[in-house]
Amino acid sequence: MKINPMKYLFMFIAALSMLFAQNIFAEEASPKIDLNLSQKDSVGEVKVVITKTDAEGKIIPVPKVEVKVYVQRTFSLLPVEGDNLTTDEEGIATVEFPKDIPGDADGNVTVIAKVEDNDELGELEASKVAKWGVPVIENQIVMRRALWGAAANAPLPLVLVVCSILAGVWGIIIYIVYQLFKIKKIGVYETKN
Amino acid sequence: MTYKETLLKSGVEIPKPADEKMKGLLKDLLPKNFSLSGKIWVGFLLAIALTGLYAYTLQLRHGLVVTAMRDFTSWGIYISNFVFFVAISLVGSLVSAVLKLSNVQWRTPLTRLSEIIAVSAITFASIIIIVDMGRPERFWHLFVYGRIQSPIIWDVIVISTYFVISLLLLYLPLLPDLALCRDNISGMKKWKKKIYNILALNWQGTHKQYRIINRSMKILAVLIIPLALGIHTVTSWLFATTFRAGWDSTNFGPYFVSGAFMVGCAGVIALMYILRNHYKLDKYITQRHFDNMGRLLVLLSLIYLYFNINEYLITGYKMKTVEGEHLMDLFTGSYAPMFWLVQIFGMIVPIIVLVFKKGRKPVPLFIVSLFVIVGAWFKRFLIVSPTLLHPFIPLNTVPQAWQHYFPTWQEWAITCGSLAGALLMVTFLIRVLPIIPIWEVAEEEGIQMQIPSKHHFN
Amino acid sequence: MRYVESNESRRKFIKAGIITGVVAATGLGVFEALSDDKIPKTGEKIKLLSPEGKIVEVDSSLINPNTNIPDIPLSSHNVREGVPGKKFVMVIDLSKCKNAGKCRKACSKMHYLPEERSFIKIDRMQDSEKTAPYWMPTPCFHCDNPPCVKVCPVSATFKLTDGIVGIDNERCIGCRFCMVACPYSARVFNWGEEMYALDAERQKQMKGHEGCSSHKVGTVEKCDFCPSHAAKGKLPDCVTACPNGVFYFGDENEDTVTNGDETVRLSALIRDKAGYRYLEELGTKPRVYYLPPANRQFPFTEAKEEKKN
Repeated sequence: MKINPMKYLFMFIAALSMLFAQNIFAEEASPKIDLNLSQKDSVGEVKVVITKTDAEGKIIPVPKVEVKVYVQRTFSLLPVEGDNLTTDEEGIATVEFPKDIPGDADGNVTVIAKVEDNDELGELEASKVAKWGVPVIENQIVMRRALWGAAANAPLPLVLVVCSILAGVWGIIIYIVYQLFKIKKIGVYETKN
Repeated sequence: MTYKETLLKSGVEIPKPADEKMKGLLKDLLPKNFSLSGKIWVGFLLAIALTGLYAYTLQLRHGLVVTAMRDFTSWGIYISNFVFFVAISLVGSLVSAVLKLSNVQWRTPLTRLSEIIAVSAITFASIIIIVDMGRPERFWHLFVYGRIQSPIIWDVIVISTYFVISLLLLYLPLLPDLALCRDNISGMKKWKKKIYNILALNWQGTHKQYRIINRSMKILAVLIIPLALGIHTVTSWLFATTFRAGWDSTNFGPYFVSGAFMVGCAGVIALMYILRNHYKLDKYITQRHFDNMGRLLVLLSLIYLYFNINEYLITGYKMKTVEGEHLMDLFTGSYAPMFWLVQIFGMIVPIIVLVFKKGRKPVPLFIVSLFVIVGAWFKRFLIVSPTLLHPFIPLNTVPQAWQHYFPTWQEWAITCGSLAGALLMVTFLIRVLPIIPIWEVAEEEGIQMQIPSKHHFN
Repeated sequence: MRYVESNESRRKFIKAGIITGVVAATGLGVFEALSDDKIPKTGEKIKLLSPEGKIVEVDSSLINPNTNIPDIPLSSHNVREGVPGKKFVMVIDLSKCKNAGKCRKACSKMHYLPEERSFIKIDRMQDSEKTAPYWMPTPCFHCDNPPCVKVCPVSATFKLTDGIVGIDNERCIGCRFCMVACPYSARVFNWGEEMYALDAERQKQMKGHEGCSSHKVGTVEKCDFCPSHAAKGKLPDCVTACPNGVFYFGDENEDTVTNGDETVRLSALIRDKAGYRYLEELGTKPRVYYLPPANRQFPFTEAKEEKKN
């Protein structure tokens, strides 16, 4: 009884693998995109290498493929300059990475290389992180004391002036209310005597 | 013929003995029951106030959509009514403090009136501002989450402080009179007597007690003047701290304060005329009082005229885009009739009439003060609403209905209800308190006051 | 013995599962049949506030019987928390705007508002007598020196670390000081439930949009740059809805903005197309830049329907 479920499970997995084995052991060309980031004289260089495997299983470079290089941004991909980047005979496309692109707090940027809509190769994508971005120093204006700040971030002069006026005026009021109690006390004293 | 008869015949006034004078004072000035006209007056005010209350329940149920306010005209007559109440409340400081510190002797009969007006007006200013809130049940947020950078918080602070001080200025000089009421009103029900007694704080008329009162009054008088200037300046900053055309002015503080003193003075004049006629107080509120209040009103109106000129002439000279359009709307556009009526009958006519001695007789003075009060209410409406119809972004793509503002019946009902409520509070206070400070008048006339010293109530 | 037991329990389990499934299916079916789409007219009239500000009477059968405000799936986004590390900025290209109005439609759909009351308005601007008119969409500018935040007495509106000026509808007391203080008329007020009563037809069109901020009668509302979208890397609805690519949105820290199709450097865009901010002289430091209507893509046409009286 215990073995039965295992048997069925094994058969199920085998069937699935046979279905997908076609793709895993395909003989057709499988294009690959490689992204190499290197530093050349303080200038970042992005090298995109496109290769594919031919019928004999040898890896050959693919020339004249249009490649696009991007930087990952919050809502979209920012194209890195370089008109009509195409791979040369060795399947390599190179572009210089601009120096003024902001990165995160440490200066990291995610560089993405893409082949879009190529008839032969389809769509390919590769990404790598490099420390080529300008580190962004967070300027937290929200933490500063300001008139538009949170209640706790009120400008100090304002706080001091309001508090001193309040203390002064209400101090006098409390003194006068105390005097009222004193009147009552005097009255009681008078009637008793 | 006796000596007395000879004197009487020759028209010489014989000085009365002290306690007879005192009895006379008490007879004149102690609070009396309502006459028929008093009851009709109260009934009339109650009707208006209850209608306002009903309209407010409608507003609580459906939200502020029952008013005519919409996204552009987001402040309406509730706010202008609030400014009006704050303005009138300044009269307390004017009479109790400014005149006191200038040693003006004739102000004595008027101090209590003005404090009554001040306290009632401030109470209803707070009420109407809660009515204007979209979420009144969150009123406590102001105290728990308040931001000291906000002009509204400054306003809350000064209004509550001013209310407390006005209450003290009303209450402190009231102590001797409360004792007199407790002892001398005939046929008073026991529970009423008890309340008078509790409020009188065991007043026995000793030297020490008088000294405390006098010293406290002096301190409060000095304190309330900057506070009165502060309260209306801060209220004007609710408008002046924005960029709107017509509000973006550095002149707003003194402009509002001078207007407030003027309308407060007119309020006291109106009230003193009505009370004098109703309670036959001719002996205490004399022609001299009217004359002097009239002169004060002229002075205050002239100061207000000066600030008006500064406000409108200088803006009109430059005619800066949106501000120019706003001004043209006031001078020659849709608000022109109201604007000119208010300026002429609310400010110019009073000045002209009151400059002449004949104009300072009670009846013309009373009519003029009514003009000033009504004019002041509409002036505050003119300050609040036309500006909101001239935002920087043009109104041309907005639905037609949002391009005008005329209050709905609920708004009118609630506003009139608050005015009626304030008058009711004034009426009530006049009914239970001596209008004119008896002990101060007695002091001035040199009468010795007798308070049964062994008086002790359980 | 154990084998027999487990067999029994497995059979029982399968049986139970099948029964549950059948019951559930029939239950749902019955429920479906019960909730009838065809609601007969009741004859009772309910007052609605039309976009023109008039009160119209509509048969109560057309209003959602459960509540006048549709069931809005509220975002679990915390209004007082900013998206860390970002500083959102928007650029609006006036040379491309032709008052298509899709941004307004998308915004009001996102926030469950009647269409004419969306948080973004399209104004017909004409700077002076002889200059050409143009259409200008105005969302909230999320200023860096916000006059509205300065005057709020209870901290119901506040500036976040990501640049957004947010509103906490649970804190707002409805004093409307912020509305008066904003020189750009960006804020609207929830005057009453009638403002949001949508007829059954429009409600059907609105699918659940996660991310809508809560509506509370008696509080202030405005454009919020769709923070629940931004936290997931999605653009605000007005940006994606615009057919002409008028709106660019992005992170100022990354110096990049995008309108869905093109992604450009923010500094380059503003420099090359002479970007400016509306009413800069007021010192509010808005986070929305405008590109002047030069080299227009469409000629200026007046609004098609006249705003009804």
